[in-house]
Amino acid sequence: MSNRPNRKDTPGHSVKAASGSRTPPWLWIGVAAIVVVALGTAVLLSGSDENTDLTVGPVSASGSVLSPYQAGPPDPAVGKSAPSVTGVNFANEPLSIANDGTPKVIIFLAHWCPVCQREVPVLTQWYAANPDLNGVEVIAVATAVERTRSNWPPGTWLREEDWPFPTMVDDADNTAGEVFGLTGFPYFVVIDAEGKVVERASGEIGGPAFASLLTAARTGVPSAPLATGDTTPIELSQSAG
Amino acid sequence: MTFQTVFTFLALLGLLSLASTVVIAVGAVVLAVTGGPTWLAALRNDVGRLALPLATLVAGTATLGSLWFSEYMGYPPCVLCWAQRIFMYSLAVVLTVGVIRRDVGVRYYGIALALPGAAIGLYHSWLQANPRVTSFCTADAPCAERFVWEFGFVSIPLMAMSGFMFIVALLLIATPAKADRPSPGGESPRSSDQEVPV
Repeated sequence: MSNRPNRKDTPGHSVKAASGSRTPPWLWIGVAAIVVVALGTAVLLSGSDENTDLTVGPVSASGSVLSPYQAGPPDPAVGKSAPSVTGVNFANEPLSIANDGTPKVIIFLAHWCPVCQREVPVLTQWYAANPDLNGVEVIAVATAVERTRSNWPPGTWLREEDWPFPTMVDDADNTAGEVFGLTGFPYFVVIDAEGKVVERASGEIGGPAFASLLTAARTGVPSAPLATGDTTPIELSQSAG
Repeated sequence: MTFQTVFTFLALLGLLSLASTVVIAVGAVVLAVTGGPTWLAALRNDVGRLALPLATLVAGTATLGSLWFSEYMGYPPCVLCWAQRIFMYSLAVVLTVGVIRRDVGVRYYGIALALPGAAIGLYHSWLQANPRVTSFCTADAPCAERFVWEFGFVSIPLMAMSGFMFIVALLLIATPAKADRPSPGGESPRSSDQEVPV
């Protein structure tokens, strides 16, 4: 490649290369030792991978499917009955989102979503400072799970973040997300005590806006004026997982 | 060994590369400004003879690492990932040829490849560390998705940037490993940089 004559190409004094000398073996040994130490450290730090959390689970849904969420009013799902979903949490314990007379805020999270990764600690801290939800139930759904995407598995992520809310694992077809009209992450669905959709939101909202959603669930009044409209009239009765 | 172990191992190699780059830079400044102690000049010569094969090893490891992420783990490379791959894969080939031909002059081509790679890696690292360019995510547009986020800040592009910078540092101090000798084909050897800057 380079057949150019010798020259000093940058300022500074030069050293004649030690012609005929070899690289001292200790340097290579040192490099190898450093790599071995790094590997050993990695093994020690990563520990065992005996995670038994579910990543997807059986989900059955019933009721009307909410129309796909689009930002900005009017939201056609507002005022419509929310679908009911039955599934399990990471420990394979039953968990459901049903019309049981309790106002709810449902949070859909994707493990690979950087915005979700920022939002989760924010909401966790907000809840630590405001543990009284005034009768509103908050349920999360870990959806859009993909083994080949980042921050997997979702159970480990949420546990490491000390996520305080019960979390349902969606199935491989993201049934729970679909019936609630999921189009982006994070995604919030506010349901009042009568099981009607009060409000929907998507994106990074932070603690104060989350508090507004809780108030909206409790009062049945959206935190922002929204018009009502139609839902997609598809009756669901499916299960997967 | 789990995939998490590999993540951590590669992240540690990235941090070691970054630390080594800093050490080389500090050593070079000391030598340039003060002339440095004798032992430092001797160490610089020893490391200089190791530099080209070590830079080749770094480029090879980075290439294999990126292929492991995409082909074994199934992580889809993004546009910026591909841009860095172009430079790193080229580095692995070009530096290997340089090592085989004992051509320290290959460092000019290596540095020309590594610098833009490092710049892209720096920008990509910033994107992944500050993904506030979007306010929500969709499945089709995963923003600055972090496939690896070791120790709370080490991402794949940060590892790549560390590798590129380490390669630049190594190539800047690279000196011929051995005396010139006739190549098998009778062609004159390519160690064109007997005189090298410190």
